[in-house]
Amino acid sequence: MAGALIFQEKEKFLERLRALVRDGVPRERIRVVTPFGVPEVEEILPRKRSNVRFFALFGAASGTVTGFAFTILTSLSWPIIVGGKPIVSLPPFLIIAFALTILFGALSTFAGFLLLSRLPSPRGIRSEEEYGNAFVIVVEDGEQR
Amino acid sequence: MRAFLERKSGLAVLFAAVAALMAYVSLRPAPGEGGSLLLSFLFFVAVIEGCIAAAAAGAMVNARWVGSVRKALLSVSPMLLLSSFLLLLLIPFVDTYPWAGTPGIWLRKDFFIGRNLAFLLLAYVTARRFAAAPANGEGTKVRAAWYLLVFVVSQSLTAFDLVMSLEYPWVSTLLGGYFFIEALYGGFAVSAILFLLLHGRPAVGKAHGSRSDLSDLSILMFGFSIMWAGLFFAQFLTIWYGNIPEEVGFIARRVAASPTRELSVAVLFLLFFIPFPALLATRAKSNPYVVSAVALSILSGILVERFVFLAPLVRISPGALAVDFACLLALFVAVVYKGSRGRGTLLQP
Repeated sequence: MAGALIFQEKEKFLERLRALVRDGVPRERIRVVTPFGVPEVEEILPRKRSNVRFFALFGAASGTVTGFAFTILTSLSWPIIVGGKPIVSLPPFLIIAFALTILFGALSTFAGFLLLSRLPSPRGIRSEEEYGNAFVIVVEDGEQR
Repeated sequence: MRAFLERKSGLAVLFAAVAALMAYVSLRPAPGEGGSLLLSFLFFVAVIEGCIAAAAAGAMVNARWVGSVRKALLSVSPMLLLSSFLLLLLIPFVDTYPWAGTPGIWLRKDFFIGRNLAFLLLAYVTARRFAAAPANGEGTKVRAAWYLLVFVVSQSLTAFDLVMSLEYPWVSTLLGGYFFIEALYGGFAVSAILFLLLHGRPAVGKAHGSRSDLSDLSILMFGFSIMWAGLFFAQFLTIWYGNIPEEVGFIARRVAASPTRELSVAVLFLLFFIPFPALLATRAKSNPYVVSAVALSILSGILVERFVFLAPLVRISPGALAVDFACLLALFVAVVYKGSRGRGTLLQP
């Protein structure tokens, strides 16, 4: 690690961060530590889009498939005509498929979030450096990344 | 045309001309004139009331995007007064409703016209009161809430009386809710179009007229597309599962023959299968081309759906429909143009 710039005031911290980006320091080498969420940092250092969306997509798609497969296969293995409708009637099966899409999508997204943020292990998320209420900019060495 | 609209009485003259032309067209004895007027009335009342409802709903929750289009949205409120006049033009047409001439309390011609007229006028009064209040002033939210209450009743009455009673004795308790949700959906679509017309390509940031506001409007359209699909499916599944002849007849009449069969499928695409995937991506929500295409798809969907509701039951004259629609569209553009320029609107509160 090349060095940590420590600030007590948010404005000075943001000013320095903007200056670093303006001076051409690669964004991927800049790391910041703040005592609370600072939305301006997101604008100065836009993050790479999270991969958690793929978990959501996979979960939702598997929920849809499971919902239709579950209802269709159950109806086919126990074929009873209800209300004169065909054995495989998609309109009512759509409700089960929709519910499982939401359920699997939500559970899969949550699992993806835990996995990608290295939760629930606190060792994976707790920073070894402790700065209290200070705003910190760490410019990492090129070799370290 | 601009110079004409800039004049103080320009808009009033335009209102009078539109009212006179529509009265002339719809009161002619030719067949299909009443049906055409009813279709134009149903579409424009939904859009006008929906525009004001979108502004009122936004004001209720302190939505930031409202500030970008509030003035333009509220400038359409005088058109509610014209809508009340158009309802009076429909009086001769009411005789063609299947219940006309039979004794009844709710479905009686004078009460039928009276209650719809009363709620249109009430919608006009509450809309003007809401428009007169400052954007963040005291009592604005109360006025917005009053308008929304009247809007819900007015749109529900439009659905139950003007549309559902055409299918008498077919009944649907959901149709009122379906109509006012759809009107609000249309109101958000008009808000998005007005936003793009007023602000052009939005800039990045959080200020009024920025990309963030457009994104908020897109999220609302996206959410309402799901809500619309939910209401549609709830209605469809109930009728499909119940399979009762008097209920199924409503769908059977529309999907049995062309062109309402194809138009019914088109409605599904215009109101759900196009807006939903188009606005799914975050970037698409702030893309002016995608948002304007989706908004036009939604408004077209509402118009086609109103046609599908009426086409199997009433005769619609294409010529009269073109005149009615063009008149109301021109007036809509004129009031929005004048209102958004800040030169004062017709009938200042």
